Parts: sequence; structure tokens; C-alpha cells
Amino acid sequence: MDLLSNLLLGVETAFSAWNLLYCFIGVLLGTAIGVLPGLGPVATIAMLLPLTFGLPADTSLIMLAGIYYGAQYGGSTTAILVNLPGESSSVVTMLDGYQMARQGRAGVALATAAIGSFVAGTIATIVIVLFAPPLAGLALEFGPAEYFSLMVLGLIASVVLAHGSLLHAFGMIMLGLLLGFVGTDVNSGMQRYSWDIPQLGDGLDFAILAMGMFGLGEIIGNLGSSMTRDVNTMKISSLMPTREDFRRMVKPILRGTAFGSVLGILPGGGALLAAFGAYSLEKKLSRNPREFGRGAIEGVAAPESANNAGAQTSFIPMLTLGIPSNAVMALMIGAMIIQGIQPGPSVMTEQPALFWGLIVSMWLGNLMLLILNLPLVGLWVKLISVPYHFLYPCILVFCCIGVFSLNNSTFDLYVMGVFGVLGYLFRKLGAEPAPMLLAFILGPMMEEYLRRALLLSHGDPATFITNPISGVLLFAAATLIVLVLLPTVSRSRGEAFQDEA
Amino acid sequence: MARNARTAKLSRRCVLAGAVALGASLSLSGANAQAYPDRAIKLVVPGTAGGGMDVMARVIGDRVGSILKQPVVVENKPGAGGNIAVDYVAKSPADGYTILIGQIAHFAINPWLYSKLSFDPMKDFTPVILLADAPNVMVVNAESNLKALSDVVTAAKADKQGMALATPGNGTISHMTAELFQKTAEIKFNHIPYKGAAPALTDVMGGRVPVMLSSVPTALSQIRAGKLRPIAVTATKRSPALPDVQTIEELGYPGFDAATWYGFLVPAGTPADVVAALNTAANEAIKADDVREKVLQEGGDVIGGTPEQFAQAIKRDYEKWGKVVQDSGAKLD
Repeated sequence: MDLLSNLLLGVETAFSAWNLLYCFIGVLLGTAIGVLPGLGPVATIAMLLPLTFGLPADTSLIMLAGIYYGAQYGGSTTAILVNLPGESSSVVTMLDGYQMARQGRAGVALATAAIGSFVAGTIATIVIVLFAPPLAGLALEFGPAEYFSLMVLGLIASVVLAHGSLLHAFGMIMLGLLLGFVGTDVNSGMQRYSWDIPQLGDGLDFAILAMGMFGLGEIIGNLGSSMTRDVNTMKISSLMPTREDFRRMVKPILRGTAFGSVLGILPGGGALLAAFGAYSLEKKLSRNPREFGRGAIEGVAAPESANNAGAQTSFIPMLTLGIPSNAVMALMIGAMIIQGIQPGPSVMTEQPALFWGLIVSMWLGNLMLLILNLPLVGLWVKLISVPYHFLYPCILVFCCIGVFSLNNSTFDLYVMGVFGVLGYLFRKLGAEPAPMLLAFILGPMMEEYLRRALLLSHGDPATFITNPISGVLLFAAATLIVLVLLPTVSRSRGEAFQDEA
Repeated sequence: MARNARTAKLSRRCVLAGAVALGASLSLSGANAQAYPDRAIKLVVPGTAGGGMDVMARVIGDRVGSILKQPVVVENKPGAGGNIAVDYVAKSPADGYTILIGQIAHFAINPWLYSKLSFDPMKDFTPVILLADAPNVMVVNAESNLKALSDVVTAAKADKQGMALATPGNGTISHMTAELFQKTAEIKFNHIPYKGAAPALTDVMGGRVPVMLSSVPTALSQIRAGKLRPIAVTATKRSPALPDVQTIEELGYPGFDAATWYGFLVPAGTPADVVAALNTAANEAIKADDVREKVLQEGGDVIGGTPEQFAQAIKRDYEKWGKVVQDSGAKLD
């Protein structure tokens, strides 16, 4: 009853001509800018934020939300087509998406991402409508001990991500952890590995690292191998998913959505964990795990759905508690303050039109994305058949613009250059950068939560087991280790390795 | 080495100042004394777009721009506790076209926390105007049995291992306020630093940390929603956004003052008439009702005044917080 009238109010707000228009403009701008390599949702929103200052509050937030999904989706497009993650969670999409593109199935990968995102967005919106207030409580249940255990589980699962040598994966994870140490220690304020360079005081930026390792590394590698790219010569076999593809993507999409909806609510790394948790799960459940990393459609469908569901439910703590769960939500809160709205629990009661309008517009925005992107799939795919000598300078320029726009700092460009060379070296050595990036993100968070949990417990490590949620998560992590060590699993891993060699 | 670098910088500054002075005198001698500003002004924000300082910079900058009839363009330079932005402005031409919106942390706390700063906050800047203050507030979970400041002090004294207190980070004004209060009230907190206010708020609302020192706007919506209980305001003046909340000074700690502020500064050597023009425009901007309303929403109030008054405020706080930082033993490098 109440819900129905609230939803009606939301529909009324979201479907007003202006809001529809701005939602569309937001989605369009977001996709257009997000699809440029190196520009993820955070950079895109930060750039376009001033555009919304002159708009009414509801219109402005609806437009920003549109930019967010648009940029998120655009980021997946570059991940699939040119192996460049616009943000942390598309690292996972890249693993199989880019392989699909190399096999001439870029269109299928893009369509899968679009469909997966839409389904996930729809389900996550329903979750928000029905459960936003009770779910908000979940975010408060998670303290440092719980987060630490969740990250442990995530990091162990990330070993499963790697295909190929376990030793290489382990080494890359260690390297990622070390790189994560760069910057100011949260607890003591000590600067670590910053060599008195103030720009390193806040640590390395994920986007810079990823663009160097993947973008530049890929370009150098391709230039070194031959001047014609395999994608060029490969016939683009199909644009749209086949019946078989659809059959294979249904379950991964649903499982990914479930993962994403739950983990997206947790501030701090939830959406990322969702994307690769969903990927690892699919790999475990699949009858052909060795397809993963070589263009398995499940490996695109699951993380993309998890990603988008998480993006949607990350609005829950922001809207119901006024707590931003990621950098994008922090920007949205800034936008609210500029509009004169006090973010927090009162938004729902004092601004019902805004609150419900925004939620309805989430679904609308996702629908627009689908309509906008399915026809564009053909165009995007053509983009990668642009010859080397045109495409790569463009990618380089956009990478540079993207990196520069993060902090308005030229220093960041040099950092990207250094990681470009490193990325090339790792390619040559056959060491995959994906586990490194995940460790790079999770490592510092793990350390922060571990030490905070111990500070709060006055140094008593029992806190990780006596907290029920934390205990269960650690138990799951231990189970996972046992599973990895079990003979059957390790045999299949060995086979995969031989297969690769 | 460091000395050499400084001399080199100084001489570069002298050259620049000379060049600007020459330019100014040339333009003054021209037919129309077409005065500052004749092009867009860059306002450098030491923080990300959408962050707390960014909002105020845009609101005030926009108005200053319309008064001076030139656009004021906000440029965000986050990083290293704001030092990157401050350093950038310190090394910009002293012509009034690059302004910094600086906070107490950059000028009174960071110089003591970082032993190797690439700029001298006292010598490299000319203060323009103290725009507004922004008080902090001590909050507890609304269901906590800590009802008043005296409860917090009693509980902290009783807790031999130290009562946990959350702040948005090491070396922030909240952290230093906690250090100052520990000393004043003769108690010991177990300081739990976070990366920003949001995760700290989550732990206080989730009941894992009993007390937090926060900026007013961050805590305000949670206070109004009844999730957090305000205990005391850290400035000597109550916050207009929380008129019923007493100050720490009122609650029996005379002289306790941990107010924070933000203002415009330009590189040292900026011509006096340019500083005066900026000061007049900014004074007018913050008196506008809609601008002031935004400042009030942030929990503070506008201040304004002359460049000299701002310079005195900086000097006073530089010395005061220097003592607190040194007593606390905090270091950030």
C-alpha cells in the first residue's frame, strides 16, 4: 500500500519529461565518456558534476546516477574490446571478455554484458524498493573484523582466478600486496615506500596502475610481436549471442546478481569482491573450468551482473544512512549538499519524490542503456578493426587524458609509463597481472581492517572468531583452501597448466 | 641541498614578482588603468570534486566571480593531506589569478606534522581573507549510555586500556582536537584513525567505537535522524547548526578552543591592490544571504575581515597547534 503509493510517486517523478531527458543525457554522456579508455565512473562523474549544479535536485541526482551506470557500462566496453579496465571491478570482466573479443566474439561479449547488466539492474532495483531500509542495517553490522575476514576469503578466492602457473599467480599476488603498501599508513601516519615524493603519499592509484599494466603493456607487447593484430585478421563470427549462449548465461547472471546485490551494500570494496567472487563461483561450478580465461561466456555474464547489481545496491547505504560506500557515492553526497539536501536517513522521509524518483530512474536508466547499447554493439566491434597505427595512438592519448584528469597531476603520467614497461615485462614472462591488481586493492584494505580490529580488541586476535559473521567467513576461507588442496582440484589445475603449455 | 633549492626558488619568486610588478606598472601607465582581473581566476581546492571543501569553494568562488565579472574556475588537486595543492599554489605566479582555498590543517597543523615540506606556509603565502569557521563536534551512538561530556571523561578514566575514539584520520584536526582534549581533561583515548569520516561514522553507528570527533556537516544528518548524540562542540562558540549543543569550554574546560577555519590565500608577492580587490569581493560574497546559508548548513558561520586579521589568525593557530602536535608526538613522514 504504502510501497505502492511511494512507487507511484517515484514513477511520476522519474517519468516527468525533464527527468527522462536528463536521465537519457546522463546515460549517453556516461557511456560516451566511460567508453574512452582510462575513464571510469569516478573520473567521469567528477568531470561532469559541475554540469548538474544548475539543475533541480531530483533531476541532478537522476542525471548523475545515469552518468554512473553509463560510465560503468562504458568501462566494461573498453575492458572487453581493448583490455583496459576503467575501474577495479571490470578487471574481472576483462579476463574472459577480451579473450572472447580476440576470438571474434566481441559482439557476443558486449551483448552479454549489456543483457547481464540490465537483468542485474532490474533485480537490484526491486531489491532496493523492497528491502532498502532493513538492508541498510547490514552495512552497520560489518565492522573491521568482519571486513578483514571477508577480504581473506576474497584473496584466497583470487588464487582460483588465475589460470596457468600457481607459482606465477602467487608471485603476482605478493607483488600486488607490496605495491599496496605504498603511501601513508592509516594507523601510524608513517609514509611507506614514498621516497619523499609527496604524490606517492596517498599511495598508487588503481586506475593508473591498471592503465599502465594493461593498456600500455598491451600496446608495447603488440607492437613488439607483429604489426598486424590478430583481431584484424580474425573474422568477426557473430554479433548477437546464439541460443546456446543465452542458455549458458542465464544462471551466471542470476548468481552474479545475487552476489552483487548483497556485497554491493557493504561500504568499501563490496562491489569488487562481488565481481570476482561471482567469477570464481562460476569457474568452480562450471563443467569446463579450463574454458575460463579463454573466453568463457559465463566469465563475462557473472561478473558483469555482479558488478551492476553491486553498483545499484551501493546506493542503499548512501540513500538510507548517508554513508558513501565508494568514491562515486561520495561524489553523489557532495552533489546533494550542493543542492541543499542533507544526505542521511532523513532523505527518505523529507524528500520522498527525490528518493523514489531516483530509484525508479535507476531501472529506467538501465533500460535506456540496453536500448542504447545493443544497436551500438556492431559499431563498437568495428572500432577494434581500426588499424593499429590509428587505434593505438588514440588509446594512448585517451589513457593520458584519463590519468591526468584523476588528480590534475603530470606525475601520474610517469607512474603510468613505469607500469606500462612492467606490464610488458610480465606479459613476456607469462605472469598474469589480474591477481596482482586484486591483491593491490585488497591488501591495504585487509591491513587497515586487521589493525583496526586489533586496536579495538586491545590486541586480542580472538575477535575474528568470536564475531559470528567474521567466524563464518574465516571458516569458509579455510574450507576453500582445503578444496584447492584436494587432489581432484589440483589435478584439474595441473591439466589446465599443461593445456596452456 | 635544501638550502640551495630554497634560494633558487626565492630568486625565481623575486624574478616573478619583479615581472609582475613591471607588468602591473606598465598596465597602470596605459590609457585605461584596466585593473585586475581581466581573465579567469583559478581557485585551487586541496581535495576531490564533491568533497566538503569543494562544495564551499564552488559556492563562494562562483559569487566572487560574478562580483569581479570574471569566471572563477575550480581546480581540484587532492593528495598528501592537501600539501600537493598548497605546494602548487605556492609555486604559481603571484598575480592573483591562482588562489588557494586553504584550511587550518594546511597552515597550522601540516607544517608541524611533515618534516619535509616543499613550501613554507608562513613565507610563501599572502593571506587574503578568512572566509568562515567550521567547528567540530564530539558524538556518540544515540543508544550509548554516555549522555554528557562528563560521562565520556569518567568512562575514559575508568577504562584502563583506553577508551576507543574514532577520527577521520591521523593528523586531521579531529585527531589533534582529541590530543588537546586528552591533555586538558587528563585522560587517555585509544585513538582509532580511519580513512575519512564515512567508515568512522559506520563504526560509531554500529556501536563498535563509543566516541567520535567529527566535522559538523558530516555528523549533522545522523544527529538530526537520531542515530548519533552530540556531546559537545569543540569551538568556543556554539555551532549555528547545533544551537543546543554546549561547547567544551562551557562544560568546564575554560580556554578549550579547537575551532577550524578556511580562507583564501595567494602566493607571496601578489600586488597589494590585487589582494585588496580579492578581499573586497570575497567579503561581499560571503555576506550574500544564499552564500551564508550554505555556510550555516555546513555548521559554521562566515567571518570575513581584512588580510591582516587573517594573517594574525594563521600566526596564532600555527603556534598553538604546533605545541599540540609536538606534545602528541604525531609525525607524518
